[in-house]
Amino acid sequence: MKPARPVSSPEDALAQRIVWWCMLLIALPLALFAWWTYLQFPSRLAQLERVGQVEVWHEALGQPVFAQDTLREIVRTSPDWTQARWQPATLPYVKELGASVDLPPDAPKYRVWLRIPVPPHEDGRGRLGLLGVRVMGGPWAVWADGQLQQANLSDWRIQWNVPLRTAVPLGARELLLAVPYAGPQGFAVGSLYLGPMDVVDTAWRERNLLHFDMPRMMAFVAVLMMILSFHLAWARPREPYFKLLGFNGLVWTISCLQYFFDATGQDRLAVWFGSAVDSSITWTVVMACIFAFEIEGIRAPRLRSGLVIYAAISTLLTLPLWDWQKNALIAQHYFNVLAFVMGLVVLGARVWRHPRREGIALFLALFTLLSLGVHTLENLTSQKNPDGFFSFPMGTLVLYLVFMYVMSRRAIGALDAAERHEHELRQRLHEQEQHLAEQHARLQQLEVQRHLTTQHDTIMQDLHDRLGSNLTSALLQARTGALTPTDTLLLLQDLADELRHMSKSTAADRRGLNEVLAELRQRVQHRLGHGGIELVWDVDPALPAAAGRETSQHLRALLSEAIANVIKHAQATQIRLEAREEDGAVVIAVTDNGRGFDPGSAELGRGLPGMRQRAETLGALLKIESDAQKGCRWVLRLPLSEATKAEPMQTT
Amino acid sequence: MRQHPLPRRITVMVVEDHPEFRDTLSRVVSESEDMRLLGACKDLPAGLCLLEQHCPDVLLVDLGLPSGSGMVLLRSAQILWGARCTAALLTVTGIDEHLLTAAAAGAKGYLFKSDQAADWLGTIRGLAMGQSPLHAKLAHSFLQQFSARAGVADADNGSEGASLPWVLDVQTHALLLHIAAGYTSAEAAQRLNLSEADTGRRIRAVYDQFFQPGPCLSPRELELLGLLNKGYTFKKCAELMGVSESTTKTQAARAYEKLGASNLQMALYEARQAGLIA
Repeated sequence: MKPARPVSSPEDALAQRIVWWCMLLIALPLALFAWWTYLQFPSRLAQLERVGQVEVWHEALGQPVFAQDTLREIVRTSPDWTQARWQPATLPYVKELGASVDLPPDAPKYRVWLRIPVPPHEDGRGRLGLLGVRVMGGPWAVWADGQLQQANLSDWRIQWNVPLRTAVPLGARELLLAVPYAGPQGFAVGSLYLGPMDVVDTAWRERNLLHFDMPRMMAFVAVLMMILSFHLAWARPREPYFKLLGFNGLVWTISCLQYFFDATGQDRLAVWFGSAVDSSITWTVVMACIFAFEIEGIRAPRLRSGLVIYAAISTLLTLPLWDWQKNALIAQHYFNVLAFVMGLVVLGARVWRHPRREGIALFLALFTLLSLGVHTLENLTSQKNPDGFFSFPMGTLVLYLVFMYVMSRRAIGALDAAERHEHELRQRLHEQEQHLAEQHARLQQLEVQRHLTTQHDTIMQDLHDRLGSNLTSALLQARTGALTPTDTLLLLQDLADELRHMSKSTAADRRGLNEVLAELRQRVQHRLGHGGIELVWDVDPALPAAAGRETSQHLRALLSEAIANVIKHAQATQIRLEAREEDGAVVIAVTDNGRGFDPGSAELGRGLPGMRQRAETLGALLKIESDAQKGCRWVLRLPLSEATKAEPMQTT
Repeated sequence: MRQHPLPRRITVMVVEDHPEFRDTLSRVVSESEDMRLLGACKDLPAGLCLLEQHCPDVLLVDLGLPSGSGMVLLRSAQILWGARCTAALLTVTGIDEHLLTAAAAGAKGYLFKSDQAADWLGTIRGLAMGQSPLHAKLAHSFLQQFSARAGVADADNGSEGASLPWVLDVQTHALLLHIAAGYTSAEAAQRLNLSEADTGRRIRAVYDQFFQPGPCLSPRELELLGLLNKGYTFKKCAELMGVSESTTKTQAARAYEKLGASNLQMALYEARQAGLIA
């Protein structure tokens, strides 16, 4: 049998490790080289001219309610230029959004105008373009020399993230950027750049990569992770990790929808959509914390349920059913930060006490996410330079990478454990098999031994029965000195005869009656010959009778006794043994020509009762006919019953 | 028996390890007028040696020899001398199984060690004249074997029926039945109106049917197989047989070929099946 072997031996594992390290040694320099090459490309922004000084005018709009139609109107309306009060300002130009702002629908509204001077046009440079990194507030509009050039009427949730790009009309001397805003809400205008239109286009695409393309990619990662995790969760419902991971992917996918859909023109839907997106960020934070707890084995049931309850309540409170939901949105994010910090502290304490690779990686990822979240929140509230981009989606990328790392480590660990376990089981099975084989061999040996012992016992029994009694009587006679040389010869001859009939077939259960009689003849032949008695054998060779072991023993004893009586007492010269079938019975007769006796006399009574008893046991009839001068005839009538009937041995 | 004097003396060979019995039997044979003792050996190698030099009319072999089974001698006698030599067993017990195996190896009878000297001589004469002895148990076994193999043919002509394998003519069947029922062969002959010589010959024919010609191994090959069967190495066998080890291996290879075996285990199995070794 093949010995159990581990699927991968330590040598194999080492060899594979070495291969991995070699690949890493090649891949790492390649990656570094690629990164370096990327860095060599100068940013397109450097080829543009940054607008340094602008002039600003806050045009008061009164107290209209900002809605799609009013905004459209405002954007198109030319201001009363005579009222303009231009003040110099530097970019980025920001009016900060407070942490807790009250925004009644009829709050005072303004439109901020930024006057950007266009450098004198030089021939051969082609058309100029304007690039704005970020414009937050209402829908912006670009005017040139008093004429509306371009406006972005998209829903403000979309447009604040879209970099501004517009072509400058030929011959324009100044550009005007208009951003309507509500007083308490503020606005932000990031850096503006002027340059050839083609460079502006490229730079705009670069910027869009950060603003839209990357977050959209994150969304696909989240969807993939969600599908994979839910499949695993379905297959292994007992493992909580997969469910948590799937739910994580789901909520992040929801929050990523903002990078795909523009709800412009459907104000009601846009509000609900915004609410869902904001709440999904809360759930992302909470789920990430719980997942980390699960992986790190932090039970903390109160903290967990507290986090979930918080997420549920904040989702409920920020639903657009209540008027104050718009203000609550920002507050919600501040609370998210708070909840995140709590979760991170608990996780950090755990990791500090039991530092493991997974724990540390998770902590770092969550910390990164928190930092980027705070950065994004500051960006959102214009506390930070609006030139920065919303980095929270990048944080989720880091988080998901770490999640994947953790799960794959778990999977590898589980596979390793299973392999180890299997190896162990194989080993044990091998041992058991060996043990069984040994036992089997031992049993076989014992069986042979037992067989031999049984055989030996049978032989000993036979020896005892057949030779033992004869030997004992010979010994006793020899001791008393009653043994003449003739008797000795006779005895020894008897012993030799007995030996002749010791063979396996004596042990057979059923034998033909003829066989039994033949054996009897062998036993008495010599003795009769010695006594000068002629034996006439008159047995039907086709006697249809068989006898079991016991029956044949009784029969033999009975007939031996009868013959012994003849030898001892009858003084006969001839003895005749007949056996034939007669009227459904086997008749065995022993006839002698001796002096005969009286069957009722007491002298011969000694042997007779035993014989009669044996006949009775056999179910046979024993009849003794004796005439004083004509000898004696013993007739045994054995009925041919089922027990004594012989199955025909030959087909004749 | 005296009324049919043989043209020459019956040559007898005895292989028997019991020294007293061997001496007694040798003496009885030597002292009889119509027999001549070719030799008396005490073990297998000596017996094989003697058998290679002389062809006895009657070979008397004890099965349980110290250096190997007497079966090898029975086979060797068949190979060396064929029908010219009649082999018989020397037995105390007359166990029918041994006799059947011996008959398959070519034995044509047996000689009870516990019998009287006169009986021995009678048996040897009978064997030399193509007759065989039979006792009740052996007759029973023969009948069993026949009934197991073929049954009995209803052929009127005894000689014709007997020529077919595993078929008994009616007379021989009756003869076997009588002997199995305890009649002596003389009594059976009388009851069936057969001459005693005819009876003996019929029994011999039965023995002949039980003979299974084995593969024609040479006596040396047989001896070698016998030794290998006892677990001796080729080296030890070579030592015991007085030849080189490579010779024994050549002999073994030839024996394997004859037995249709590819290795020792198979060869021993085949040889055992053929009754060449015990």
